[in-house]
Amino acid sequence: MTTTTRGFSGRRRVRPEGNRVPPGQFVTDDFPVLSAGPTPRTPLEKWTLALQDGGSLAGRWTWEEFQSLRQTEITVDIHCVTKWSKLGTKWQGVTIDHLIEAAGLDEPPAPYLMAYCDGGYTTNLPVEDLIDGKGMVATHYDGEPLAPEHGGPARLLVPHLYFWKSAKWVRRLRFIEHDEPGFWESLGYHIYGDPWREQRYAGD
Amino acid sequence: MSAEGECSTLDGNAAGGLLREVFAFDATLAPTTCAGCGRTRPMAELMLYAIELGAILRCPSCDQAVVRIGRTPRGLWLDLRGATTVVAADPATP
Amino acid sequence: MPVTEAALRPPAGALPWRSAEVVERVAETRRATTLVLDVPGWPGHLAGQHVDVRLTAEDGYQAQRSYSIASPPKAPRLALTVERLEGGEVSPWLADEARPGDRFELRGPIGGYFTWSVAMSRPLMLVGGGSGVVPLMAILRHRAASGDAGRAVHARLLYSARTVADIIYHQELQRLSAEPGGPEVNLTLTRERPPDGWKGFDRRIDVPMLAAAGVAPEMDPDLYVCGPTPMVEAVANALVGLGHEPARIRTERFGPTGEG
Repeated sequence: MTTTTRGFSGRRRVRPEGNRVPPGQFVTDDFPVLSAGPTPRTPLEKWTLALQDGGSLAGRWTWEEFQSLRQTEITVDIHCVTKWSKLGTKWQGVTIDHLIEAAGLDEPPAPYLMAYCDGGYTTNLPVEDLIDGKGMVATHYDGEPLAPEHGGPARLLVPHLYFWKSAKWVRRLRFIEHDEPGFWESLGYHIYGDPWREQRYAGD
Repeated sequence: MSAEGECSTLDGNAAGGLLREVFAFDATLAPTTCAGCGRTRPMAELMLYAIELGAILRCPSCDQAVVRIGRTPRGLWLDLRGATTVVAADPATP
Repeated sequence: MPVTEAALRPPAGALPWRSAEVVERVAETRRATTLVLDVPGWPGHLAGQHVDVRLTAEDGYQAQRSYSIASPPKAPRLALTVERLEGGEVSPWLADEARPGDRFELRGPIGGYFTWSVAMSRPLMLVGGGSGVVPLMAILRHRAASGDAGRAVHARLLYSARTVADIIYHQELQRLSAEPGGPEVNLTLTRERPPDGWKGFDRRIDVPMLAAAGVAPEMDPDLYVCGPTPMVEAVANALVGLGHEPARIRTERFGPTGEG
């Protein structure tokens, strides 16, 4: 049982009418930083992104090679499990569809994917939720190179799921046969994470 | 005391309340050995991240996640694989 | 490894959320306020411990932060000293809005690592920056309330504040240090040229200042360092460089807020 604190309202937030924002979310103008570890500082000359099919390499790009892949710009709403939603955020990067194509694959080789990041963070997703434009590896936010504290130089971006799935500092995407829990999923957070069904925690 | 910025600006002291929900002893004092580099420190001296979701306590020497806690409405999920040992007893007790 | 005496071990068991009622507010500085609280069922605490404070808005939104306890163990009421952080969520309410009769949720006491008791008889060195002085003040108040046993502990405080107006507990520190057996208090200002007659330092805490105003490593003191994280890390490193035993240095990082 909690009691209301007189005169306390907290950070400016809005709970909009209608269905623009998933249940339980508030809209913010800020872009709060939430990290599970220190901000990695991989220099661009050492950065690579790998696509793996199980244990074997399907594709690998240096920063320069990655920048020369087909770029896509999107404007989307993003939803953090801590109840903050940010509307109309602009991103640029390479869609997972185009990555798969650039690796010379006709189609995703397995139904699930695990993302691995500098610093050891991981997250798991069904491949269905990454293809057909639903996911990208983003390198620019709001027209600028992605800042380190927000996942730069590159992060996964999967805006239709809670934002912990949009893994910062992504370096490797591995197709796997069976879904396995990543960093937060193994600590009680939902294995899938659909904000529209409020799937924040395991068992929701 | 709020967690923002590039590397952690908080330490295990700030996770004290959460740790009391998990452990029956005062974990901030508990000598904890990092599975990554083998150094032993009280949990209070580990670097604290992600306090909004639980607590991730990392070794200040090697950044290994020593203690990972996920906070959910139905309970706390604890992963201590990053620690080889946590000493709960008061070392002064015979 | 810091070893606590058996008598210092805080009670184990679950920490319930309690209702704290504001009894009095005391303006300490333009940024810092002390709230004196009634907390029914308060189990007692050790000097240096903190509480978690939780505030709830009308729509159910909650924010939670930790604050050091300013009052010593035997004080009749619990007191917190809170410095308002620009852009903070909880500190502006506590420091500026909370008034007698207001209630909020609190749990504690928390933390057995950053604690001191007069039963620990080694010389005592305290280094604080900004609001990092709060738990150190609880320690000094406990020492002052402990009669001869307290006076027998050789104690020095080095406290860094931005300006004279930002020195929390200034008068009380002057009074304590003037008493027989009182602690030696050294102050340093980091953002302001000191006034005429100033007897303290005027720069960020550094190695020569710690050597001059601290306790010599040969005396094997217990050391406590608290304040903004960059300051805590710089001071802890400097103390090790001066020859202090790392296991004797207890640190509490308050976050990224500006220097003391």
